[in-house]
Amino acid sequence: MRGIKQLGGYACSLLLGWSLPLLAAEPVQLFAWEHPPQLYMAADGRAAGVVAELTAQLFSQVGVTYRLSFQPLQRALQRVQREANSCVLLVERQQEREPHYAWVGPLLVSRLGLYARADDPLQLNSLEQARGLRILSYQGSGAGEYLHQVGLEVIASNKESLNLSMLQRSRAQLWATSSAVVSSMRGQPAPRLVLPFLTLMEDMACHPQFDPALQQRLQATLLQLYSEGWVQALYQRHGLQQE
Amino acid sequence: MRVLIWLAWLCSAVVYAAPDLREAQRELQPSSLSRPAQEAELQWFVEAARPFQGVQVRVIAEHIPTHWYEANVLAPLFSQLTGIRVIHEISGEDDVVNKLRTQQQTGLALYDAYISDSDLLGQHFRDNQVLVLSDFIAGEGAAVTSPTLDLQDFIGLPFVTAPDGKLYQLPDQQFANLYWYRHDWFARPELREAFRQRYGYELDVPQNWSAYEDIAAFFSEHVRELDGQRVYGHMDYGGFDPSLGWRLSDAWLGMAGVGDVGLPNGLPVDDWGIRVEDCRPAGASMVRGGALDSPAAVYALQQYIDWLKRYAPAEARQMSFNQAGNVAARGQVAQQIFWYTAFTADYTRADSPMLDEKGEPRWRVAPSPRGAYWREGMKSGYQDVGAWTLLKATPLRQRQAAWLYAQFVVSKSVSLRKTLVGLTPIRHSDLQSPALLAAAPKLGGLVEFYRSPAARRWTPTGANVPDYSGMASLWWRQLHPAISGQLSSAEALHNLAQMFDRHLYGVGQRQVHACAPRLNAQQTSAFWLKHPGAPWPKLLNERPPGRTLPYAEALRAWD
Repeated sequence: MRGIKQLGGYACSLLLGWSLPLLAAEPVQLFAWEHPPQLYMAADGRAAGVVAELTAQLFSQVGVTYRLSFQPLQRALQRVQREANSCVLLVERQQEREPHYAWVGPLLVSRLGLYARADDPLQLNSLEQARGLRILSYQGSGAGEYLHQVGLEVIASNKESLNLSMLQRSRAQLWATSSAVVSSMRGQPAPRLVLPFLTLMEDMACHPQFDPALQQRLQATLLQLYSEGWVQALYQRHGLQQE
Repeated sequence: MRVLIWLAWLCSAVVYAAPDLREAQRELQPSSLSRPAQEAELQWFVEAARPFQGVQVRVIAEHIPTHWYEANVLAPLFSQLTGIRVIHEISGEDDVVNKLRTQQQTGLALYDAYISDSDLLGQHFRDNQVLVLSDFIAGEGAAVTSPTLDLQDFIGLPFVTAPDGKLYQLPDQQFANLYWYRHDWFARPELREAFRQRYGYELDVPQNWSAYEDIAAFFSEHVRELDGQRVYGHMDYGGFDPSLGWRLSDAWLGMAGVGDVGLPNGLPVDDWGIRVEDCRPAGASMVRGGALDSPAAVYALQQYIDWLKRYAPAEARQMSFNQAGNVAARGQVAQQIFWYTAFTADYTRADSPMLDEKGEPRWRVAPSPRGAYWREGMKSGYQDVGAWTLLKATPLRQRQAAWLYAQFVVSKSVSLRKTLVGLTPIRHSDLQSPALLAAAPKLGGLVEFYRSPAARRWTPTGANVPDYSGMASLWWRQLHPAISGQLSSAEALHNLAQMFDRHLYGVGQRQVHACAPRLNAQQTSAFWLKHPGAPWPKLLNERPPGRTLPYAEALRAWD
């Protein structure tokens, strides 16, 4: 990731190190929540992951600076409603949220599935067949919220590693997560995909009065990064398959 | 050698067990096909899919009961029969539209097929990204097109056929927007007498907006309480939400009479107020020849707002489509002018207060009343057609496998059973079936509507809109200020019409197509108001006398 320097610990701001001729008067404030492995705070305090790099490239290409700080999702969503020049990374673009933000995306596309222990012979052909089974999910990941709305029994936790551990100890039979998360974990043997069920697109959600011209430039540039293959190359550099 | 052949056979049998057609047939009853014909059709799918065993396709649809049935029952059944694995995702309608747009803009291979509304047809045929199904069927898709598909059996075929005469989508489910009312309340002698005394005509199915308004006032302001509970003469929704857009863009202006005469959509001005010159969108504002800011449009929006604020439950102003959908089913609402039949399943559940002691509905659907500007020959309401949509950029093998699944879930083997589950009919053969006729008394007029020629007068958005997914959000963003009282209806519609014109101009710069938008030069509004057809000049009297018809007579409007 280029040009981002950590200025403080958790919940502290980051100020981009570069300055460009087209700089807006104030850097855009980005509130991020930990979304490993695609977006997280590395041991050296820097934001890391493919989304962090994509964000850096996006702002760099548009010629605008930003500050990035990590926050819990709910706090980030509240703060962005109060601060005009701010955005949250990453938010699922849902109908109920649509009017409350200005959107730029998608910054991340995830394929969600239900995973079971490798030695569990469980077979599922539909979500309906998961009724009555306990399903682990990461709080705020979108997967748990979706399954809960469908009427399934969801147990939310604030760490995917905890979910994996609970699955391995048979505290629940299923874990709802993305293949990228599963590959990033060191669980041995790796959990088995039982049922893919949803593709999730996550965006940058900005204050509703966020500068519309800047929003359009960010969106147009992002689409360009996709169509030019820059995003695909980024995933390849990380040894990831773009889902 | 024999051992090797035997081993190869064994391996293939392990990978793909022979399908059990009888098990599929047990699920797929009733069917409009005879048992042998159904078996033959299912066998065709088994054979046609052989080259695709092991292929995985991913599709997406909106969350209504029809699609849940497909995802939970039909997709696994298809996989069992064919060896093609189907991931059938269900999500919100807005998410389906966003994902289709994202796939087209980024090139990401998100899905192999979408079940997407035919409202996007005008975009599809101009953007050149969606697979032309009629060409595909005749070419690369010939070997995977069912000989029993029978396109002419689809009631919604005109809605997925573009002005170029080609088929772009294949209907999967349809639902309409009809007038809904409490038949049992309207039949009470004391209420009928009180209404007649007050308004001078019968409490029956309203034929115009004046009668609808009288009935709304009667229940909300005069009756007020029935059987010990507060009742309302109107239900609607007005929250700041994308679904507010559908409330107004799904033919509300057409029902008011904003557009021109013509089916499936007014010509040259449609129910979005957009004028086309030949097939080119030429403007939405009156100064460009459109009708989106015309007197008829102001009347349509103002009536919607007045009724919402005066006659609906107070909480309706903040509600969205999903929140408001089954409110009337709780038993406090007398009528609803804008009611999606997709909610029929909620109103026919065994435990619903909307059923009487015999298990029959206390409610009926009837033809929607029309606004003051409506004239004979105009469309009468909105119909939603969720239709299979494939993209040209999807690899051929994926397209072919997805096309097999699309045909399976709309095949005659499947369709009648699916219709009885989801109540979103798509085939003439199902509508003529004894099973659906037997179910009709439980469905409050839904079957009668679909069996009548009128089903063709309730139509989708149409092909004039060249960028539905880019323009849909303008409706709710620009018109909500009129609901919240920040702007007048005329001001909000003026803003919307200006935004539409700007957007059409931008699309015209981008699209390379003989039917791409090209704006008319600006004239005065007076010029176009004097011109024959829409935009219509303001009527001296927008409130003609109320008129109602008994239910049986009202249904004849569907003949």
